[in-house]
Amino acid sequence: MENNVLSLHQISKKYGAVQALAGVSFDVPSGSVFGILGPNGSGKTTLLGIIMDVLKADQGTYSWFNEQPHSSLRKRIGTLLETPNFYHYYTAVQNLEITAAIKGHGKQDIDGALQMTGLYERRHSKFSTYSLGMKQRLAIAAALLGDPQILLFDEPTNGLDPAGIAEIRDLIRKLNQLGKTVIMASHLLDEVEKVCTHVAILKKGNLLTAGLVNTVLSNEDIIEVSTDDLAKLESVLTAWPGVKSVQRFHTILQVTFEGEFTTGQVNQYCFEQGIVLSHLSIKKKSLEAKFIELTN
Amino acid sequence: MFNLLYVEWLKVKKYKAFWIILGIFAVPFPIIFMEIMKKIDEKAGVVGVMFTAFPSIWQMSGFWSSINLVLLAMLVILMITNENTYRTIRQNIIDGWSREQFFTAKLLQVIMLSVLATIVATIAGIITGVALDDMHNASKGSYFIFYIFLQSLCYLSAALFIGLYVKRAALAIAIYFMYVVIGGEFLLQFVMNKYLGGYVGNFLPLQASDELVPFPNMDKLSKEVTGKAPLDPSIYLIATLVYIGLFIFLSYRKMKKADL
Repeated sequence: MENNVLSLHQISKKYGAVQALAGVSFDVPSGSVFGILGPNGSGKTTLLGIIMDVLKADQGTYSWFNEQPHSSLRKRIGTLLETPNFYHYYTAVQNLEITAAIKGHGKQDIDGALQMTGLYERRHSKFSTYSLGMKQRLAIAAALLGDPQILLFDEPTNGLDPAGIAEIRDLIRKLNQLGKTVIMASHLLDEVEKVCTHVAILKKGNLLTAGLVNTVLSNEDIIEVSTDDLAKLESVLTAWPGVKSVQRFHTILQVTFEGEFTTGQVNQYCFEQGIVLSHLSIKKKSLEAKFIELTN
Repeated sequence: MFNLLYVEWLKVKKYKAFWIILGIFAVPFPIIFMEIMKKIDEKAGVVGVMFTAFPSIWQMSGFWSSINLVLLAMLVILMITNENTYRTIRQNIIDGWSREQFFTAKLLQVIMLSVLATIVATIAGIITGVALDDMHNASKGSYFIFYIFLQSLCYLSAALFIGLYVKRAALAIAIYFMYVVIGGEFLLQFVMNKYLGGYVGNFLPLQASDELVPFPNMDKLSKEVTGKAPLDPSIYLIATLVYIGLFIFLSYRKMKKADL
């Protein structure tokens, strides 16, 4: 057995006629920050619900720590699933006391978790008075109780302001450096790219791809060129071996290559073909575009 | 088990609505009961003794309890639908309870509230007995105390069942009220007894447990009026146990299989 904390095998689930998940399988290696990426409605939350036993899969199996799923294993996982779920009539501290009691821990971690998530000052306020961002923070605090080996976050930065988002990302990196495995679902590609080491991409319940972020989301560079006679430039570039695609945007051509090409090589090649470029620049392909390309 | 009860205790410890409903159930109930019984004793004279001496006092207390149990049923419905509304039912499972543990915690709550209802009804019987009868007679029909417990358990496990299946507090409470308080069950019982014959209507889910603790001397009266002999109480005992079992089993199955 490899060192996986979570393995999914052919998980399927339907809601009526809607296929929420269609035979999804992947492994989450120990010590990774594993992103589950997909647009809204792709099945991320359903998937996380199934592995936490709040939803029932129609087919398929999963294992935590290479063991059959069992409720006591969940006590070793800190989870924020979809929405922060707390007793509205209780304060942050009273709510965390319940969480700690269920997890079988004492109250000693509560203050620390509240400090780490910036809620300590408001710890005696009722949950119903919290803003969306504070509720989200409390859910993260609850997940941190008992120092779990695995953290499972569903859209952890939902409802947070930009500073809060940065804080949570820092926290995730910090937790990972402490040796914890973090599994997070997100529809924000940028977020996954910034914090994750591994990624699985879901679309309409199908797993498109899974693996290292660097491999799956590798960036292809685009080189933009322009000249007076655009038609000639286009035919010259299209004929060049190594060019993958040439696309015309108004007065600019966007060129992608197989393998590595520098702007210098492009300039030289065009000049040799008798074309003087009036514009030459390198552009990182946007991750958003990559994401749309993958999921369409 | 202790951990389950401790967590349930934390959930209600500072929940005002819980303690207010519980207070309304536990405090005025025995006092009002005693005052009503005193009035009956005063006004009805010789006939009143049919109601105000043991074992009738236990039966009257059970009858009074079945009316007041609606309050506790509301509480049970509120506690289970709250978990659905706040989605803490999910969170409890996510945090490491098994579905069985969550169910057991709720069932323990139902059992404890049934014990409380029994204690309150017993206190009502005792203070009334002290006022109107000789406590040496209290052992007469004291088995009704056990029946009152079963009646409470039947009412409250029905509430657990409705709360788990209906999920929304207002709707669940409305259904329970229509059936128990506004007379849905009474109407059904009347129609069934009239058109299906015999005592079919007496075997409606909560009515069976009411028949276990019948209104005093009604059996004799009904025999004279309708000419039908009453059924043996043990049939109602079996029916009540079957209903309690059914409510608990169906609730458990729902909890075990449902998407939360």
